[in-house]
Amino acid sequence: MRNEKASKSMPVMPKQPVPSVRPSVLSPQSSVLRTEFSLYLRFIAARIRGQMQYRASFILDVISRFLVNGLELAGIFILFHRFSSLGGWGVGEIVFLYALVTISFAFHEVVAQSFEDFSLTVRQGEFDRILLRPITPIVQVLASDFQLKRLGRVLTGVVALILALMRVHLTWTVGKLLYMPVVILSGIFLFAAIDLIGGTLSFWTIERTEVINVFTYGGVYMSSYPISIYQAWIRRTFTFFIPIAFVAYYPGLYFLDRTDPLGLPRFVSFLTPAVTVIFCAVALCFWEWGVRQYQSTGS
Amino acid sequence: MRLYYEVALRSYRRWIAYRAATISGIVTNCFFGCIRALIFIALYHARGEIAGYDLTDAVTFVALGQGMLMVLYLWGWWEVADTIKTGSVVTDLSRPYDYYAYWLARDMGRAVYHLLFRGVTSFVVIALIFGARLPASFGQWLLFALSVVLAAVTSFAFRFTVNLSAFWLLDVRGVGSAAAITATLFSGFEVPLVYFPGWLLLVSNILPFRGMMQTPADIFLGHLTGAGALAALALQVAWCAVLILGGRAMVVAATRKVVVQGG
Repeated sequence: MRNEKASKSMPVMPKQPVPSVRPSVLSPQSSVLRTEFSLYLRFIAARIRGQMQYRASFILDVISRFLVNGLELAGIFILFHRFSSLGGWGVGEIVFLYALVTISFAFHEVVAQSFEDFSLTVRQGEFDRILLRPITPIVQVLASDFQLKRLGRVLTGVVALILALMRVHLTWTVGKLLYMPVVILSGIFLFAAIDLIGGTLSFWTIERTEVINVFTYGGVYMSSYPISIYQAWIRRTFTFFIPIAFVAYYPGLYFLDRTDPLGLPRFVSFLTPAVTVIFCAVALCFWEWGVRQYQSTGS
Repeated sequence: MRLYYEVALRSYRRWIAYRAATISGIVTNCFFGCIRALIFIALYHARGEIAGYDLTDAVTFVALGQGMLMVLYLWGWWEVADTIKTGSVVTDLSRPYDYYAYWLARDMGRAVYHLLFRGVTSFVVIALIFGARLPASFGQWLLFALSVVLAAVTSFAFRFTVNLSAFWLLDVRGVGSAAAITATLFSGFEVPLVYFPGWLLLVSNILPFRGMMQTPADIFLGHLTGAGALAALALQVAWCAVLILGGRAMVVAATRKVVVQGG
């Protein structure tokens, strides 16, 4: 780490074990993690207080986001008014997939959007300042852009879920009720991890890596429909490489009591949490590596 | 005229400078186009014609839509509203040119860039992957080209009007999103208008947005020919005229209202 190198170059400093000022998120020091987490909560509490100062503007923002995203939902309904079904999937089932992916993505936008604009942080030299503070960088970046108004999109997802459940009569079981929150939570982490990877890339590219949008926004758009309709390379990319198919489609098969037309075994529906944990671990390692490689733009 | 040509040329060159953005934009457009096309392929499975469109029509519409998307630039254009907010609009208004024509020229320069570099490429890529229906005659190409130009002008006139509302509103974003949603839905971008249920189609017929996407596409696909195509073009011209005159009237009204705070 950089601060250790710095202390070596100064011989005047007494040789004593320097405590790691900037603990890695990966190191399981529970007390550190707890402090960081409580700090994070205090940061976002302050942000929420700030954002609620302009109540009217906040409400308008939420409504406008709700409507903008509702456009896509309206599009699905208009299409299915003509086509009635897609490869055996009815409008209710498609909207159910849309709802799952939208709710996850929207919550991720509330808490973790900051990594989408991270290249700006790097370009303006703001990241140097972040490195100097004795709090894990990732916590600082996450806390820097907590936007409650993005709940508007969550609202679209919830409305979609209600509309879907009015059309498909799901047979609810205890298992489904328990698994649904797990799937949504996993989805939030998965999207956040994709943004984290995109953010890490901006250590090298400086320019905003717009192509990552294909995986986030494109992934969301794609996930509203059964993955089975896409070509093999798209299915593989979003299963093995950027596993967005695990946000809605694979668990959706279980919720909707459907089988995959391509003959995937049933247990794939339950891999969502495991896949998320692995993907997040990979993203975090990449981020930690990126932070170590980071060289300031110097401006 | 020479001045506005130069303005458009400068604007075009400004856009052309960002090569990396162009490439990643094309990738994004094409990816979304592929997804949309594959959705239509799945929807049309074992179905012939739906609402007068067959699968080739639908896929061609998708390719055209991805091509036109950036030409029309419906989302997030606030340049004029921003100058009103910062006050620099005062300098713009006092310059010795026609304020409206200046912005029109700037936007046309941008539209030409987006047409040549984003539009044509996206269309060609999607058309090569999925196949498309091309106009059969030179006349049809010509009508289509005219329709696209009119679409670009309509889009500008509409967005400019929305931007000008910043003279009267404190925050133009709310109106702006509402405007963009309406335009996206009723132009046929989100879903081709032919699939709309009857009552929604009636609404779309009395709005100017159909001319931004559905009309050029229908000319391209050969669903609008002869007198029908000419009537559709005439309607596009009429909407352009209404929107431009409305926008110019707003500029006049606003200039009466603007008070310059001495520095």
